[in-house]
Amino acid sequence: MTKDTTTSPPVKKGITNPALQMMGIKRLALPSRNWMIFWSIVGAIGGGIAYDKHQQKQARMKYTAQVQSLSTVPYEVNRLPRKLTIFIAPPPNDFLATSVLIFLKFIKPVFNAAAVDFDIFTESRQGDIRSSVAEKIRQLRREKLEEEKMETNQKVTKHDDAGRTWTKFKNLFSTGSKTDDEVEVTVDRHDLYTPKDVLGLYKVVEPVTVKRDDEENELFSGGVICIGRGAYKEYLTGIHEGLLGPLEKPQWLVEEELKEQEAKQQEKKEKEEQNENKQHTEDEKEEEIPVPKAWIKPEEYGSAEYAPEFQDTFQNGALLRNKKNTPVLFEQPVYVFPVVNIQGFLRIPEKIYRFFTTREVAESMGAEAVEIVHNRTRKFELKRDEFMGSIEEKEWPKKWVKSGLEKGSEWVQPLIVDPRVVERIRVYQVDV
Amino acid sequence: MIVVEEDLIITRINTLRIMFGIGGSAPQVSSQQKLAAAEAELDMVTDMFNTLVDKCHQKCIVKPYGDSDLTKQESLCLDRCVSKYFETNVKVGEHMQKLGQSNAFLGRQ
Repeated sequence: MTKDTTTSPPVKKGITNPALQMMGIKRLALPSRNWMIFWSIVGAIGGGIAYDKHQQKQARMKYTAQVQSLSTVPYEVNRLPRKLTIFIAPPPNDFLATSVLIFLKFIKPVFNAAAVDFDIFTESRQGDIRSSVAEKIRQLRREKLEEEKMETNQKVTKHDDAGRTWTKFKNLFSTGSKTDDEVEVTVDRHDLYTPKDVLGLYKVVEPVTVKRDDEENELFSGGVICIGRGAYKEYLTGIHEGLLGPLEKPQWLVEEELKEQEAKQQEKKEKEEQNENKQHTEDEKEEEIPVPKAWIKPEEYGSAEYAPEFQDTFQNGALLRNKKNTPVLFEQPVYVFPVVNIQGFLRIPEKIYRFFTTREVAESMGAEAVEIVHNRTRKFELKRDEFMGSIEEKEWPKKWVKSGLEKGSEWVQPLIVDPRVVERIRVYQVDV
Repeated sequence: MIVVEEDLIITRINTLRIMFGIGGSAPQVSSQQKLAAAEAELDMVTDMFNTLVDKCHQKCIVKPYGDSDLTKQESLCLDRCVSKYFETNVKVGEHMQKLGQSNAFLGRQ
């Protein structure tokens, strides 16, 4: 009995009174030193993240509220809002998701709130954006050439038309007598009718023909947004390639590609010979089609002919339009959102700092997106706009740039612009 | 159960095939079969149209109808909704057709 009194545990510090004890709280006291350290670290990190997220949300709400009024206006059924084209490229040494996420989190909400439509074009390999932009422009040029040819042909054959209508008229009567033993031909359903014809609705209601707002206001139609400096570089070189390059694949490129292919096959053969003894364990991936190379080199821009097919429209001072009557891509204003992505072991502290202050990115990108929605443009300025978004380039990993230079990557080359082409490009006026 | 489901899928594929006009040249069919096919197609189109209208209405139109006109937001949403619906429909149809041709669905080899 006496033992108990001598070894009773030391009384803990803290406040206590009978009332608290009755409620089941024996003693109010601070936790021990180790617990305090643990909780304060957890609290500081968690609080930092939560605060940053909260501020991001506030920024997003602020900017979406600014443009919300634009989207609640009554709108006729036969109209569609303007459509932006968005090019997204992955940052160096990183995945596409990094850039896409920046677009989704900070830019898209503003566009959605303002009811601005957009098309997203992503690339996973360097050169995809450039080659597709260039190919689109070349296609336009080809169509234009074809049109011109047709026009000249029509002038020649105009007097034949009278004769043709007569034969048509005769055929109309001769088709009446159809023999039974004619072979049945299956025709594609799409040639006979569309779902519209089948639905009874359109017997009552006139079908609506929809017009995009882009067609109406020339100077403010469409828009091109590049996420990442690389996307912008590729977009501009793509325009140059399309407008200044040849319409057919140049001979030197064909030869170069042939050589490369041969080299590749040689390599493959050697590999196979080496692997003959071993089992074919690795599934041979289907070879991707390599990204098409540029059909014109930047050094040749100056001496190249400037899209002779378009000169008529250009000299009239009109904008070039596509079949849907909207100005084509390179006639639309452009803007760049740089994706600053810090990499490297030694820069981890900076990375952590940036992680806890992402709200600044949200703030600036939201403000810029609002300016794009408001749609003020200016002319492209030489020596200034070709460096749009180039702050990103300083953060590109040095090793990556070095290996890019060795491989001849297009991103690490300086962006060369031709004054003739750039003269027509418009840029979003963004003063934040 | 499984047999019934399989039948269902086959008929669905057939209607899809008619609907999108894909699937090569069919063997000679009687006019009655053609009529049945046309009927199935009509059903299919109306059905799709109705679900499309229903889904996009649910998704896009703000329920307290404050205005007789659509707002800009709503018309954009409808445009996207309809195009997405059609695109998915075609993609699913193509995929089902591929499955049907290879007989790979439901574990059949």
